[in-house]
Amino acid sequence: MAGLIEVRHVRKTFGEKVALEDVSFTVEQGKTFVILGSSGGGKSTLLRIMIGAETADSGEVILDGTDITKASENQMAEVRRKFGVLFQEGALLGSLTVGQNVALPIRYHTNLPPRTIEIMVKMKLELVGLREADRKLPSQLSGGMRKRAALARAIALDPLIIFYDEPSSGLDPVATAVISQLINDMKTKMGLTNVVITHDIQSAFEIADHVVLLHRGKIAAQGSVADILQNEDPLVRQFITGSATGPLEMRSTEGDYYNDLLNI
Amino acid sequence: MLGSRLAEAPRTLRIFFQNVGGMWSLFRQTLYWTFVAPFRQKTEHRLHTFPLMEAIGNKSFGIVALVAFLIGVILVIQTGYILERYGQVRQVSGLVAVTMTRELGPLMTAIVLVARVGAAFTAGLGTMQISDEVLALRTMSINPVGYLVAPRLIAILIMLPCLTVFANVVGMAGGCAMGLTFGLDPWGYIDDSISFLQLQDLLSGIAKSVLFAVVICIVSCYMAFKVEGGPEGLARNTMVSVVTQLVMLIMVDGFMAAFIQAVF
Repeated sequence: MAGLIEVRHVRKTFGEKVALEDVSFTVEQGKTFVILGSSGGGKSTLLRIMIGAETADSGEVILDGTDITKASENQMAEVRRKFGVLFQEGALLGSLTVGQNVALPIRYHTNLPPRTIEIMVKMKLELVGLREADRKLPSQLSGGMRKRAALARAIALDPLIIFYDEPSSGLDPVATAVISQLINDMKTKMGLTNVVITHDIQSAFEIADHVVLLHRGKIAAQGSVADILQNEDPLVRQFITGSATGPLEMRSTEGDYYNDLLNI
Repeated sequence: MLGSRLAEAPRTLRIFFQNVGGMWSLFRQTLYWTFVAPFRQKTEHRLHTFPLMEAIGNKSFGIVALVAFLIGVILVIQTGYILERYGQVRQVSGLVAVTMTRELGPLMTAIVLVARVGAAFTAGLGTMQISDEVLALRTMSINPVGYLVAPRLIAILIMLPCLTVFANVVGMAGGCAMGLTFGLDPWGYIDDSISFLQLQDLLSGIAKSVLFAVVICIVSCYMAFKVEGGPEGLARNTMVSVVTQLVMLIMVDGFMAAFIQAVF
């Protein structure tokens, strides 16, 4: 069965560095798809390719039938109407109030009268529990509130898909739980497809229907939460348990340490 | 040292031409979003342009007045005593009037705006660039050039010529005030200034200020969209932006002076 998003053999390099290598997966409609991985593993690059902010060197990203790697600017504008993005820091426009931020895409892409837009904004903000904050500036909100406001803006035009870039980063456990609950609500109550980039194992397993583990730009494992939990691969085990020792080596082992010292 | 500089030359030249091409491309896009797009699609120029006009214009009147007044005073101090030696001190009014309207009025006002507005454009939009706000606009299918650059161009295109005319008048007033110390009659000074001035002096200064407005807007916004590498990159690009604007202002000024001299 063809999915809502199909990523096929995507490769991306930055100079000599290979960021993504032969990455392929399918995201099914109405599911929450989580892309896990350590820092520098290629998650953010993959997200930027999936939202059309970065171009892949090769491969295809088919989003609701349109290959965005070959799409024209006009086709891309159409595709972008089908998804919303929750950026890591929210990316709300600092000069606008929360209400104006949520109203922005509605004002731009519809001819609705201001009063109707105002009602829609209230409804979107109510969905994320921020109805009272519509006149506040983003700088007056806490980190968790900013993310919820950004989520309200992401769903302003009722998209099919929402991409989340590290939704729990920088949040306390309660705010993280609130965001995880909202992600689940988007799927169960609004029927949206969620694509979540994160390194937070706990919240990932709470929300995921399908998990992909990226390591150094390649897919190390993928499957349901149960599949990942039962996976015996040492790399997967280390990532799940958060152990400091194992194949996920954080220290650089390239070059000869003694020669480096002698050459100073 | 020289060898390494020479080895870097091809790369430096490539970056230079990339930037020139990038600024030209941004200029063309800005012209489209300023003058064509409002008749074809929804834009929100009117919402943003008036606050920007206030920030660029109203809030710059004080500093422009101070600089222009002092320039007028300095011109009379520097030239008055020589003219006095030849019994031609009355000519100082014409000298100040022509110098202010043709050259120093437009140039000094533009330099003040580079510091006050150009730097703020790069820093403000650059901050939006590094906090993903520009990318957020793109993902909402809102063109950042249309949303961010076009209102800035309209605002500065209106306000810089206004400020230039204001600076011309204040500069002449400064000259008049200093002329009192040489025993010149203020009403006679004003009459002489008006009789010396020709319409083309005023128009050439205003034409320059229009081109200066384009340079300030395009260079500052281009350098903002090129910000990479967080706050350090923002600081670097703001500095490069201000230096580039100043150099380009002088180049455009020289070109315009030669052009006006040749044509009129």
